[in-house]
Amino acid sequence: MVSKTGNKRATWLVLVMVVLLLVGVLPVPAAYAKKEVQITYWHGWGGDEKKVVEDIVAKFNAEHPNIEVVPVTVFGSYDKLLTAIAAGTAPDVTSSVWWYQVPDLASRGALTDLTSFARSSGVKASDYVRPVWESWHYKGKLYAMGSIANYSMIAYNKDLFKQAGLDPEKAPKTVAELDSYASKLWQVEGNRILRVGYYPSDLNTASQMFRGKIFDGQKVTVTSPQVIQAANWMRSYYDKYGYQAIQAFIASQGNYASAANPFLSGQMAMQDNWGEWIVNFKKWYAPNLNYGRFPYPTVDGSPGFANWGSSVWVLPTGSKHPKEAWEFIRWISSKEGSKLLALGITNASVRLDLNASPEFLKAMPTLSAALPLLREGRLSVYPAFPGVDEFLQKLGNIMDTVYSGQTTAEKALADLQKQY
Amino acid sequence: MSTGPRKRHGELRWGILFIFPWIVGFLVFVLFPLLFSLYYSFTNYNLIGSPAWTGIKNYTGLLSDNLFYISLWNTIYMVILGLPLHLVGALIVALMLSANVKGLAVYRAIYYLPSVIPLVAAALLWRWIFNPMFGILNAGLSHLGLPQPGWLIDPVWSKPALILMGFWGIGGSMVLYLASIKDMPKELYEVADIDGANWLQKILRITLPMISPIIFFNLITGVIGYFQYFTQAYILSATGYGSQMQVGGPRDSTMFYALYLYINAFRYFAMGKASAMAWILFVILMISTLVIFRSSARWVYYGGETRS
Repeated sequence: MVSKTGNKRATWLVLVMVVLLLVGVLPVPAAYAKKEVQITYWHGWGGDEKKVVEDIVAKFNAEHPNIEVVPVTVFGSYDKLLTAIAAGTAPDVTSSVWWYQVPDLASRGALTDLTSFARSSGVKASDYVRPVWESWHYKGKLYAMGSIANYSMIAYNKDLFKQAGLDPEKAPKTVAELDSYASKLWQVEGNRILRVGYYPSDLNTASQMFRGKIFDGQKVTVTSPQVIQAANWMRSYYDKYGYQAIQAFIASQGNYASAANPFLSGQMAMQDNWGEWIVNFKKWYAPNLNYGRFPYPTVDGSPGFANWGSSVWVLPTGSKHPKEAWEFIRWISSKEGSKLLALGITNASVRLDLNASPEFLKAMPTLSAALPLLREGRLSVYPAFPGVDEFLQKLGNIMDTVYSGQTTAEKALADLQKQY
Repeated sequence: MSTGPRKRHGELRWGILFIFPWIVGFLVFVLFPLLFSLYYSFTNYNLIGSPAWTGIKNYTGLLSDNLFYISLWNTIYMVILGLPLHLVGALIVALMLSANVKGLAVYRAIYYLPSVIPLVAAALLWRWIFNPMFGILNAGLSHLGLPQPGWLIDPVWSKPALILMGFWGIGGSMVLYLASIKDMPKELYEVADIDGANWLQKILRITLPMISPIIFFNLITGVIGYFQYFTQAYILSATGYGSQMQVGGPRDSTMFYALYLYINAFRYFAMGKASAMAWILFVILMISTLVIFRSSARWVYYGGETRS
């Protein structure tokens, strides 16, 4: 008798536990499921920018009576996105993807082909900055669309230019001019750096300043003469001012987004890769900064270029409402959506017409320096190919051995080329 | 009388019932993924799509992967150099804290305190301590007229820097030593005093043998922990921002095994390769643990045993 009741009790307990377990695993029904179609949207914005994105999504929802977009902030979601797709829990649409990851994700089968959607919605390539539009494609198919972008150039401190006897309104047009400006701006005392004039930051950009490419669109080309030349040019800065000294300077920098950023604090006269976020950074961290921006100059004096980058909107494989999710992408990429988002978070647009508009130039004064570049498509090419992360990690390490003088650029890059 | 076995049977059932949640958790979240990772290690799997069987290609591929050896070497460096220093450091502090001096509780709290701080927070703090230009460490060295290494930016000094930082976290091992030392019978020392033993003899002949089971425990957990060295390197070696962030530098000098495994799995999404790495690590850990266990008969002394 004793064992029988015990048995029964045990069975009940097991049942209760199983039920509890299942309840823990099953998703809780969403708080607001009023509309016909509800789509989840992962994005990577937090803080004030999150509010901007949420307001814009609310506007979209108001304009679309049958669609409810639910925004979720998900940080570092490139990892999470792939895991979610594998687990079948991917969001319907996400913008936590960088433009250069599109080929990698598409080649893995992680993205939905948007080509026919775009065709039937009448999306026009000519509305967009050409290289930006092209970056949304992989093997001739459209996999992503954008809304906002940053066109980054070399930022310079006008006050430091004046101090050094340079004309703050005359930007260097060639690599040689850049070098001569830089040498006037550097200040070194013994082996201690007081002020950095300039040093080139990455081989991809430098190669294009020397009119070459580390990736030609098909394959890695790090042994081309222009790339070698660029690598040696970069090394010349480390040779001149000391590898250890420059490394120490870089490592000693505070948080990039803070008043301790060396360009904002006046410890650096010229610095690569400043996008439109410089407007806010000046406002928040360095109100007295007197800055300008100029395109990356070239070795032969041919017109310079800008680097660029942007988040893109994609439909992960397994999106449950592709049609509605596409409508959201189309809208955020349209003149209306792009304008709201770009001005909201102080970014430039992927659309040609918006960047040239008075509102944009008022909000982002140095965007004017980029306008001719955008019109002519003079933007740098990023090595966007499947496996790019691993390639860049290797390139970074290999270039470190070049800067430190352990090996020559020719040898190091030939070693890297062999692996591709 | 006849209820005996039946009662025991009932107890077994209750026992199983009570560990039922754990069994489910173990099967679903540990054993099942574990076995799957073994399967994945023989496949090409990028998380999306189905894994494709490739035999031992992941394993042979690792043998010709330079970074695999570098990461293994970096890790062994930490196990062979970092761990002993960690264990000895913890032991010395424990011995000092077992002395009878005023304000002992305060000292104990102070030495244990850093172990309470989350690893990530501690690593971010040490990033500033190691800062080559404005860091407090180099400021101190320069005050003493000593050379100031680049620490985290110098491939030669990056691992010693991590070992140095490791001293900060000796609190956990130290507390175990301390408890064991405090637990020892006083008579042993009294007898030694009568026999005229000095402090070093007392430590070598009494303290160390008596706490050898704890040393053994700290050694085993330490070996496993150091082979999985990850968090500090991930935080301290990070350069660049957002999507451009790189870890393991300078020049791969802090690319540890677990870090390289993580990068393969969650940056490059080479799940097959990462799984193969995990299983190789498993084998390495099994062998090292076995060797330590085998050797323990020679040097670990349990109070209840007599030596043969």
